[in-house]
This record gives sequence, C-alpha cells and structure tokens, in this order.
Amino acid sequence: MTERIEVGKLRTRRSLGLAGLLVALVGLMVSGMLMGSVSVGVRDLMHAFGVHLGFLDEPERLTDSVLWAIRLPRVLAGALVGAGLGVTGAALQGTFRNHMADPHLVGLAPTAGLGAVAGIALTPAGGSPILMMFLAAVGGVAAALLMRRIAQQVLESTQFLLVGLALGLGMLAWLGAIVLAWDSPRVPTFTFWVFGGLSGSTWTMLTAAAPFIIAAAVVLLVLARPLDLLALGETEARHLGVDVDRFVRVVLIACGVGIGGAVGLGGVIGFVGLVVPLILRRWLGPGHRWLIGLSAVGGATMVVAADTLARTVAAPVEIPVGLLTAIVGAPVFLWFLTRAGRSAA
Amino acid sequence: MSVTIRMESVGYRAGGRTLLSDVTLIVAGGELLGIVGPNGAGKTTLLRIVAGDLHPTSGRTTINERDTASTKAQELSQLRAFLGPQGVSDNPFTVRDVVAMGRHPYRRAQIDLKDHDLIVELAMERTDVAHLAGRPISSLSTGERQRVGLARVLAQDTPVMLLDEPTSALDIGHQESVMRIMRAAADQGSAVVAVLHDLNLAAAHADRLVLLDRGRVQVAGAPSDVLTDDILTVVYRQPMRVIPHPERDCPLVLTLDEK
Repeated sequence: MTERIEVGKLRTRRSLGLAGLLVALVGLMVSGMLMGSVSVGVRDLMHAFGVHLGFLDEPERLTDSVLWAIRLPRVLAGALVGAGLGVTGAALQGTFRNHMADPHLVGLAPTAGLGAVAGIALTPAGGSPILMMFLAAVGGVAAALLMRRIAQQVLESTQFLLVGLALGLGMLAWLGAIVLAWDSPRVPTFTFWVFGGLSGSTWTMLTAAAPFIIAAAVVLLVLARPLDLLALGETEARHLGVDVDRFVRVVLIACGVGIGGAVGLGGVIGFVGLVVPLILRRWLGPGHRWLIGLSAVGGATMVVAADTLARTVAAPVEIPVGLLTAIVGAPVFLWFLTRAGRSAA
Repeated sequence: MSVTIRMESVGYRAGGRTLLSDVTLIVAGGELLGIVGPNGAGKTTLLRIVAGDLHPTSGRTTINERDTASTKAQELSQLRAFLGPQGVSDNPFTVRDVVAMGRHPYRRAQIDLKDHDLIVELAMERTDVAHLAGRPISSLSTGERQRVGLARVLAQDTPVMLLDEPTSALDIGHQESVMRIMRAAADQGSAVVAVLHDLNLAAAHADRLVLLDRGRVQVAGAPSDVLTDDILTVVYRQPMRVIPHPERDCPLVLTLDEK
C-alpha cells in the first residue's frame, strides 16, 4: 500500500503540504467570517479587528460586533475542533497501529460527550464550561484507556474496531436517553451530540476548550518520534528504549484530553480524525511528526470549510457540521478501504 | 568497557509448562556464544530472558549487574540490542529510517547529528543494505529484512548483541558475512549471543556453544567438545557424524541415514 517516496521529494511534499494547508486554512477562515446572513466585506473585517484590537478609535458598528462576538469565535472554534480531531486521529492510528482507529469510531468522542453532559448536569444553572470540558476529557481518557485494554486482548484489527463502535454506540444511547429525557434548554440538542455543531461557539466556550486541545496537540507532537518506533511493534520499540506501557498511556491520555476539548466545544463530528490523517499519510509518508503537525492544520481546514458551508448553503436553516464532514468523509474512507483491500489481495 | 552477562539458575514456566530450567551461564565481552539445540529446546526463551522481554520465574539474569527483568527500557536499550528471526517487522518506513531508529537510545546524548548519520550509513554498508536505503521495509525480502535488522543492531552500538537465528533466511555468502560481522563485534569487546540452527556455521565461528534440549543445558564448551557424534545423535534423534573440517580448525557436522 505504501509507495516509495524519495527523500528529496518528501521534503518538497512536506513544505508544499504545510504551505498549501495554511493558505487554505487562513483563506477559509477569512471567507467564513465574510459569509453569513449579515453580509460584510474585507473592509468591515479590518474595521472590526481595528476597533477591537485598539488600532482604530472609532465607534463600534453593528458589523463589528457580529464579526467579533459571533463569527470570529466560530471560525476559531472550527479550527480548534478540527485541529483536535486531526491530531488525535493521527495519534490514535499510530498507537493502535490501525489506520481506521479514529476518535469517533473507537468510542472516544461519544464517551467524551457523555462526560460533557454529566458536566452540565453537575453544575447549577449557568454552568461551568471548564468543568464540562474537564469531564468530557475524563470520558475521552476513560474510553481511550479501555480501548487499550481491548487492543491487548483482541489482536484482530477489525474486531478491535467493532468493539470500539459498540462502545461508542452504547455511550451514544446513554447520552441520547439523558438528553432527550432531561429536555432542558441548558443541554445542547441530541443532534449536537451525534453530528456536532458550532453555533454555540462563544468566547467563553472557546477559551474553556482551547487549553485542552492545545495541550493535547503539543504533547502529541513532542511524542511523535517514539510513535514512529511503535510502528515496528511493541517488542521492537521496547528493544529500542521505549517504555511502551507508560508511553502508550501518556499518548492515550493526551488523545482523550484533546477529544474532550473538541467534543465539549463542537460536539461529536465524525470522519475528520479518520480521513485527514489517512490522506496525509499517503502524501507525507509514515513519519508521525509531520503527520500529526499537518493533521492539525488539515483537520482545522476541513472543519472550518464544512462549518461555513453548513451555515450558508441552506440559510437561514443550519445543517449540522458533522453531516457535511460525513458526506465528504464517508466516500473518501470507502475509497481507501477498497483500495487497501485490493492491494492486500 | 567490559561487559558480563550472568544467568544464575534461571527457570521459566508458562502455561503450566517448563520452558527453561536451571540455566546458569556467564558470557563475557569479547565472546561469541552460539546457542544450539532442536526445536522447542528453549533457545529463544533464553535469549528473550537475557533481553528482558521475558521475566524468569526463578533465578535471575543480569547484564553488568543490572537485572534485565527490572531495568527500565531506556537503560536496557543502551546495554543490549536484539535481532529477531524476521529481522525487522513489517512497517511502512524506509530502510534508512529503520536503521536510524537504532540511534533512538542515544537521542538525549551529546552526539553530533552527523555522527549519528555516519554510524547509520556505516552499519548499512557493513550489512550490505546501503543500496536499499530508500526502499520501504514492506518491499524487501526476508533475507534483506534480516540484514536491515542487523544493521539496526549495529547502529544501536551496545555491549551486548542478542541475535535469534540471524542467518536463517540468508544465502551462503551473506551467512558467512553476517557471522564475520558478529565475530568483529565480539573482537571489539561486545558479548554476542546468537541462536543458530546451522551447526556448521556455529562450529566455524562461535567461541563457545551451549546445547539446549528440553529447557536444560545439555553441554556447554568449545565447539569440538559440544559437537560430537553421540551427543548430537541423541539430542536431535538423528544419526550424525562429526569430522574435522578439511580447511578450518573446527568440527564439521554431517547427517547420516537412519539405520
């Protein structure tokens, strides 16, 4: 399945990939801020930044507050959620040595969702976003460590994925039962927990989730090199000095924390953590440092693009962002599956 | 830097079966030790206990007084390198990447990046895999993988080298060259322990042989003491004849027809 990529060509691909994705991300974030029910131009955007960052000493206009209080936190949330999904997807695939391991498929995201709802239930009206993110992270970590136990017992990768899927569906059922029975305006709707949504992205939510996602991304980037060694199998990695049990635990905790932040902020959005690393691995080869780094940018790009579409294509109706990532991601995933099947045969 | 491997009445039981019992063995730096014996004799178990992969159920194994069952992975990785019979497992990295992973134990050491690269290139040249450097492991033959694995062991540059059937998939030319590489490592002070199926390869290159059968050391000593008609015929349940090698100063083992 892997093709030969020459070293020089690989360097070019890395720089091209990074530059291309960064340009796309910034472009999509800017256009995401310009599009919406209130139409604004680049000039309005600059005005809003000028006023709010203190460069312009002019009274605030309506567009300034729309941009600053609604659209900017929303595109930032999209980028943050996508980055979190991308890095955890890449790291999970490496840790479980399974290219289909993804925060959604192996049950981390739904369990984090259950944790988030518990966080909302435990706080009095008004809620504490940080507690919610924290309990979402606890859920994500618990699911990740549980799946590690499963992986040590079942060696067959398809069986492992089915266990993860069952765990996720079970958690989702509990989540659904609680959300629907409770029926409180304090809890995001069931759709949010199945297909995600970024309409509730306020500065408060953003700043509560950011530390979780950023910390996870930094830890996973630092641990990228030993993840490469793990691709040789746990025994060989141990021979080369990796304390495998401890290392895997740290990676999985980071993944759970990152997913906790992403789910607490954007709900359960599927396929991003799956297809972004899959595509990038083909482009960049197997090295985890670049794979994880670019998966952050790639995931961010995908979610910002999907979210901009989600709130504009059928305006004023908003489509859940996870539906769009699935519409794009599912065929890509199927294409990879059938390709892998053919080349393995 | 002198090194000593010490096994003191080591036993290993798993799943209600005794795989190794009462093995006492000392290997010093400078020595190339061959482990021989029939299938299921416990050769790989012994090697994996020394590597620290398996923890003995009785007795203890040390490298330079450090118990391999309780020493941390990082410290062990600077003491011993291990080559499995498959060389390196299937993975998407290139040959150069995988050999360079042998330098991972020294990532925090004060070593110039250029020196790491030099060690990696040298290891690939000595094992005749330099021409494969850019190829992904998944595209190699078993014999090529075995040599890549040996290159990584050399790059790891440890005082103890543990090799499980390092020549099993190699052609005769590469078998001899791998044995010479192991010999050279021993001559430079390493303790080299290799499980070998080919008794003639073992006879020609090892300083000392340990013959295992059913988890016990049957004989240990110089190749000419261990490889005798009687011992081999009994242990392998196969008529054998040992004659002097016409050129080399070592025994030559021949199989005979069943009587």
